[in-house]
Amino acid sequence: MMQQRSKRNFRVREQLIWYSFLITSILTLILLTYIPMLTAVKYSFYDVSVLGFGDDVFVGFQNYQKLINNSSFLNSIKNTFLLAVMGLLSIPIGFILATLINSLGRGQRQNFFRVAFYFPNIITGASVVLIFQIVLKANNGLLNNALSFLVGQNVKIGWLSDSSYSRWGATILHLWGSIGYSMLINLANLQSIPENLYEAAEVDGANGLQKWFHITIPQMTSCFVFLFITSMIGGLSRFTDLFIIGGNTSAGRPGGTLQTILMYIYQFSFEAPQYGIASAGAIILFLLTFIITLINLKITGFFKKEKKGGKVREA
Amino acid sequence: MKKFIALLVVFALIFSLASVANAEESGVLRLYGPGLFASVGPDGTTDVVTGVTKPGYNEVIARWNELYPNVTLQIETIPWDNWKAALQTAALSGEVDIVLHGASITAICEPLNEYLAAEPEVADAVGMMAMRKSVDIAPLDTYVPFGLTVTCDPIVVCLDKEIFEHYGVELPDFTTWTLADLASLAEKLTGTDPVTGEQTYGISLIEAASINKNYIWASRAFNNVIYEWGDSIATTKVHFKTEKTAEVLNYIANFSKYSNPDYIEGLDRAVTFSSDNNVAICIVEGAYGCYSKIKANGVEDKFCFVSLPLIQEGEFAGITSSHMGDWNMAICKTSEQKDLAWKFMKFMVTDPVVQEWLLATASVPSNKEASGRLNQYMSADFADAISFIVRTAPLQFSASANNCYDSSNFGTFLNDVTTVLNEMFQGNMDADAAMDYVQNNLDQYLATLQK
Repeated sequence: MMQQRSKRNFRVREQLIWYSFLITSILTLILLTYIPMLTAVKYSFYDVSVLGFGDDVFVGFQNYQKLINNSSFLNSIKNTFLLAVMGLLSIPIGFILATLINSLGRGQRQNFFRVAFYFPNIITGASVVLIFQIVLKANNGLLNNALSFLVGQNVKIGWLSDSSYSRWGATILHLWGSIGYSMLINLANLQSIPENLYEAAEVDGANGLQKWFHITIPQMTSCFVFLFITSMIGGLSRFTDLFIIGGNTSAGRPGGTLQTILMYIYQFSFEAPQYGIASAGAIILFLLTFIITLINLKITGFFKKEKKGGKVREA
Repeated sequence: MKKFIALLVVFALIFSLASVANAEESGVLRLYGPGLFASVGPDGTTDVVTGVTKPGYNEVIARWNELYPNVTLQIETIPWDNWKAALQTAALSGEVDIVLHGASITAICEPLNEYLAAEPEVADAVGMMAMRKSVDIAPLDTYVPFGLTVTCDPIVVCLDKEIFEHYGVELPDFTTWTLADLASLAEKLTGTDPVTGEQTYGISLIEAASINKNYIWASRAFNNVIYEWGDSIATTKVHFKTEKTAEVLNYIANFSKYSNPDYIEGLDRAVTFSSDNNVAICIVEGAYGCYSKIKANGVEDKFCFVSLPLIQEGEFAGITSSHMGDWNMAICKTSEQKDLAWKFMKFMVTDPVVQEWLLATASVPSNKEASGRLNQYMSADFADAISFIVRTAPLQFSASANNCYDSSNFGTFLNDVTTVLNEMFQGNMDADAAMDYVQNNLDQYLATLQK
């Protein structure tokens, strides 16, 4: 009897310890994540210009209505999607690089290229922008000089200063920083493809290109899905580099072409505070990201799980 | 005998301090915010580029404690990132008495009308005050003082005397020059330097990322009044699309012909303020910082400062269009020691020891008498223009909320003006398209305020 009680006490004590860890993290999550999130939802239905001062007036869906009827906000949505989609170029480029590096075989040469291509990824965004302001400048920029050499006439494109080209300039800058990561994920997946598939294909007489198209690419689907979703989410929340390109303003310089939704929200949060509008913008961004992720997952078949017998079923 | 004299001196010192100290005041005065205190820190800093050493705010605390021995100062500094949101949160906590640079957020600040009415000598002493608009207190065409400006940051024009000399062009008299003179000089001084054979550029405006600040001085110089104030911001009408606005926009954009092609990318000032300088006229914010660079490069003889051209017409006709940025202090609305907070703010703008400290931190004191002493720190070629601006600037004016430009109350106006001016400079937009863009955003913003 005594033994049973002490066993039960021990178990209760043990469970209390586990629960204390759980409760701490759950409380932290509630206090620092969920309550602020819900407050943002609440603010999106109120007219709030200064937090805690004055009367917050309930305005229903007016903030959402104002945003949807605002041309600058719609423009920022367009910019966000364009930049996010252009940023997806990092996936095929990273895949091609990974294939080339993989073909070198394991060893020092592969390690060198892995490190070399990943290196830009660890450089801080501010430094990258500062470097690229020189590389992409209109007057004697490195890229323009190279293009001038190639085409045989003076090229003066303001890659980051001319609104006609700025999205491309911002994409070049983004790709330089992100293809290393994409390459690394692609390479890890490439190296996990079973060798016997290639051996079987060779026996069937497949050449290198056929193996690449019929074995490598299908085997990489889950990797592409992962990169697609993370790149899209990253692209939709792009802020720092574009903010610095614009000279630390949220105007989306040049010409508002680099103003993303996040920068638009920043404007109404920190520069000209209208917290109701900023919160409504944040909720719209959340919904857009959520919907796009769902569509991505649906289209790419992420919800399908393999059955034991080899058939697929909906999760 | 020596001991006796030493004792006498110590006694006299204690007696004199005791006579000026305010022992009846006691408590803790809490200051919070960004700005000068944050940049110098408690113990001071040394600038890596210019080598300028600035004393820390412990000197201010020491001086305050001499006068108010029973009042402890608690200074909490923050960086400029997201400072407006940080100040609001701090004010909500009720743990702040003075918000550093808080006057822009009028909802969290106490208006200073009554304090200034009781002690008018404070307003007389300063060249600038943090004036804002607040419908709760006064009609929108009237300014309300919400903060005391401690240091100001006049916009100055830095001239390269050598380039002027090489082209045989006389330096302008800044007490009389006009907008047309500035445009004409920028044109004359662009080209190949007749002496050195190097390319020179006539002008470098305030940096492209803040090109809206050029609109502030130019629209003021043209007296381009665009607001028809109503009872509230919602009922105020903004007439941005006018012939005069087009004139202002075109005036600024026209300078693209005389600017370094790297201006728009913010890369045109690589050699300015040095012996290799290639810009004849450079419009700069942070006059003191600019002087420090010139001094560090040992080229004080090559340059001089002037104020911007005179305002052509209207309320401020005849004074310089150089406006000033500032670092201000405001009484927090939630403070329970408002009178003590006012005493500290008054101390910051009038105490002679603090004024010396401000000058030593390479700042321009708002105190007119102290800014007049700038020539003890820099030559008259630089100090005169700064003192002139501080001395002649009207108190009833705010660079961020005036009749020609208001970035405080009209949504994204600041960003919109920046966007269109950059586009015009780049040649992607004309004045009509620029005005349409800004007016459309203004109209949409004002529509959002309609209940």
